Amino acid sequence: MDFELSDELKDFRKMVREFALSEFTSEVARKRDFEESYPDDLRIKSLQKGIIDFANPWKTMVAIEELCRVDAGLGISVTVPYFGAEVIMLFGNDAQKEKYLSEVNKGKKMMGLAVTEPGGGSDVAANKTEAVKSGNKYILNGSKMFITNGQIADFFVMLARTSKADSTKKHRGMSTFIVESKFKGFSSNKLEGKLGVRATNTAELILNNIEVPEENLIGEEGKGFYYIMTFFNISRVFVAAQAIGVAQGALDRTLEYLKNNAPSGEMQNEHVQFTLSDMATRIEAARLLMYKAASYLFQFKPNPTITSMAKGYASETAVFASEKAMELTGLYGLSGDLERYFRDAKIMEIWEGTSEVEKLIIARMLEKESDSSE
Amino acid sequence: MNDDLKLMKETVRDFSTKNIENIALKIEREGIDKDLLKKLAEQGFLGATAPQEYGGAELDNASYRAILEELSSFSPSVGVLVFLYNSIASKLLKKGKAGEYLKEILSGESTLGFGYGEILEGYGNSTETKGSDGRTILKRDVIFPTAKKFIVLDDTGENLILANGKIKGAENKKSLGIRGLGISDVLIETSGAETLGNRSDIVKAIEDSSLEIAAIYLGIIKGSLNKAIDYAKVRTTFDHFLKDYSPVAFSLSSLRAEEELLRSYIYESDADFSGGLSALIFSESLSKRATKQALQTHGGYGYLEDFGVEKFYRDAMTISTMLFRGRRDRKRLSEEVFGTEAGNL
Repeated sequence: MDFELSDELKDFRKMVREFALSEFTSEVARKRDFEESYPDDLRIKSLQKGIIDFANPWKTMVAIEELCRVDAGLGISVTVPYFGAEVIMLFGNDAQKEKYLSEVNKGKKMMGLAVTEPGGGSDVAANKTEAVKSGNKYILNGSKMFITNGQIADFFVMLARTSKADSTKKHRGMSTFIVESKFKGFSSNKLEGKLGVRATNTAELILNNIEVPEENLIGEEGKGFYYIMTFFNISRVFVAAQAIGVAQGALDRTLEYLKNNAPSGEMQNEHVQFTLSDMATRIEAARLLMYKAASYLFQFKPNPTITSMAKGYASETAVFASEKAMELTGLYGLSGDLERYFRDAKIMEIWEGTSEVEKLIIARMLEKESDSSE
Repeated sequence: MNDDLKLMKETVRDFSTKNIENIALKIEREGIDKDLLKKLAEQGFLGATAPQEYGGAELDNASYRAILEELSSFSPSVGVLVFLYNSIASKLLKKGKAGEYLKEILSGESTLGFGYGEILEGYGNSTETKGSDGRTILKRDVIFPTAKKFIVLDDTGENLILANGKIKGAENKKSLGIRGLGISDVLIETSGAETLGNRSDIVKAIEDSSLEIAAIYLGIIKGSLNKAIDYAKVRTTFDHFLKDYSPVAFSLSSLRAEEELLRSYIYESDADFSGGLSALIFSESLSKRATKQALQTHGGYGYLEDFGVEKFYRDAMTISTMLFRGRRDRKRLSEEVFGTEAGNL
């Protein structure tokens, strides 16, 4: 057992941190947050500087953590253009990979994942979007909600129903498609007024008789739910990295305040010291859980229990640390950058499966594992 | 709770349903407008406890708390404004021109902002800079920065003054909370300012207002839980209403139970022990827990301002930073409990 990252990853981490500190200035972060505008310039710069290496999951995880540590809105914005790619990578065919993924890898195109529906939330099996086969095409109708990159992605991995829902096995009969935003019948409405991560682009998608060529079906018809759940088991590790970045950044900035800006003696107060210790301990525990989940996953032996523990605990830690940071820094935090951490953190407990869903997964796996060990 | 108080709460609730609920999102985006100020004044809410000679309603403390609670349950920004006008402005603006100005703000004709952080945190002169014309000083973290006049500290950092001022540099920043009032930098004109008293007068006014601040928190708790409970009754997930799931039902119902205990304390206690500090400390913590759970219950929709629940999450933290004095209040409570100096290290 070795708790150290490789030297290569350590160097990479250092490089990402330097990039984030020089590019994600308070001024830029505040502007994007205020305007709710996507930082495409930073996306391009991060690709050019080699910050983003989607082919290397360890690097991706470390980059997400380090970028979100300086600013979550910007950090997620530059690491999310690849969102959903694993579905094509694992279940798509070579033609799809060549046509769609290679462009994303080069930074020429952006993608998104379109699963969630209005009123559907984490209950993926309740999806209503329909895909009806007609000749060599599928006709898609429905709507998608809270879709990251919804207005700016060139294409989406989209989940739709290809056969009627069976009341007892609702997760059957669903399929995944690659849907381009330029297909006729596709439209999107930007969702404005998010509490946090406001630099990221979020939209509602309207699908009105979209014709999708049959070669854009990913994998087999009827297996969409399984593909998406497999994907979430991967992406949740990256959400854990976002959350740990937010929590660590909140702690960094709190320490910076206590050392440089607080009235003298603040650091020596034991209430302050205990709060700092508690923040740091939880962050360390969350990070270890994430490393363990990543270690299983990146060796192709995913462990959904550990993954859900990592995502759930890391997001709880982000909310906890950002709240404590506000309490320890007072007006400094309120009028400075820390209040953004407080707003950004809360989404971690909601997206990629709410904390409640993570707990359900853990409990179900516990039940299953205890059966098999008997 | 006696009948008079119940009637008062009903009146404020009716008023809020008609005049605040429908524009709650507008208040968050654009601030409290003059029309609403006028209506609040007409109802006697703006000067709830102020003397009649200044246009106040001279209500008792319980009625005042009821107003703070009910208004805050729809818009915490409105609750905080009423609190600042009654618990601070009415106590400081009494003589001469200042008294005349009190009449103007209580009638909704004019507006008053507060150099609040500076006054309470005492960071005074260190963050002030002289303007280029030598007459203006920059004040950070001013509540209601779009107001016409402000209560701020003078050059010495010890005396309170009533002065003219103008908002500065707010074009690319929204405050975390109480956006109906806003928090921003203000350029203050020191010439012609009225002297009002000492910095400690405001500190004392705040320390004497524990139950009133607790009433604002109570409103935040009530408003956010109302939304969450209503939502949990109509939203289905995995084929059942949210309310049917034990974690949702148990957490919302126990938060509501805590809210009820807090309410009975705020209205029925004589608050001998600690002068209401216990209610303040309890309500501060409960408001953070309740607003977080209320947002979570709404899932992704809770993260969007349209649903009117995330504002409570922001406001609870903001008010905690501005009005609740964190460790100082806990230290005051400790000294009450131990009967001597405690909690210094």
